Amino acid sequence: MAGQYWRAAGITYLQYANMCGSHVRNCLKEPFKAAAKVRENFVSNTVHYVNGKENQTIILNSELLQKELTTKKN
Amino acid sequence: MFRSLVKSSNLLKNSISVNSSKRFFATEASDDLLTFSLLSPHQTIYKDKKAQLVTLPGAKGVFGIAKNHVPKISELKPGIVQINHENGDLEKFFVSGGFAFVNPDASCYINVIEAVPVDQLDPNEVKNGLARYTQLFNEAQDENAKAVALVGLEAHQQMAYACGVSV
Repeated sequence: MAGQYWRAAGITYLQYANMCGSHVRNCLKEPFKAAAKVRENFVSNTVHYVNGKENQTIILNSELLQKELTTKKN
Repeated sequence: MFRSLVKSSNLLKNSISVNSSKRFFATEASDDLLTFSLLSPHQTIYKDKKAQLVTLPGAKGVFGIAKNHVPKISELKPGIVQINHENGDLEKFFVSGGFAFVNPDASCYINVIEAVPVDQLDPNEVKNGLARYTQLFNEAQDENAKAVALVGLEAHQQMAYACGVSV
């Protein structure tokens, strides 16, 4: 397959770029790999308020994202 | 005979002008260098660095950039960025993909997600990943899973090539 086959399969450029980045980080030698993994981590909480009360909280972090990526892979 | 004399003098003139233009280029060649920057989101690897030639893994094929390259924007895929330095040294980085910009003023920006020196890649991890993604690609059923596996497979193939693991 040539060209942007991943775009045809519904993968966006950001998803593609993140996947490639994480493959490279996974294949580093040890001191560099640990440093790269630390850089990869992030945490984000999104809270929706309705009438001044907490209604819904969306928690997103790198572990959850990794999980989603692996379920997509399988 | 007279005519032939004129001709030969013309020839002489031509050869002189050719010679002088050649000399002009030869003096230029000493600072005929590309100015480039290699940047990732978390690190500035090179900023406004001079180099003879930079070879990039374009999405549509590997290409080299020297001074006075035509302006262009190119998507990069996982592969080796090879830098022929000013002093003739060769340096290789493995990049995970990004974009390269060649500006009209002959400078070049290489923006990538990850860029590591090739000797920081672990051949064992690469070998394992290659086997895993080959298997995933063969087992994948739907189009999305197949594409995800192929992205992994291509990245690992390029890394294998970069650190000398036989495919």
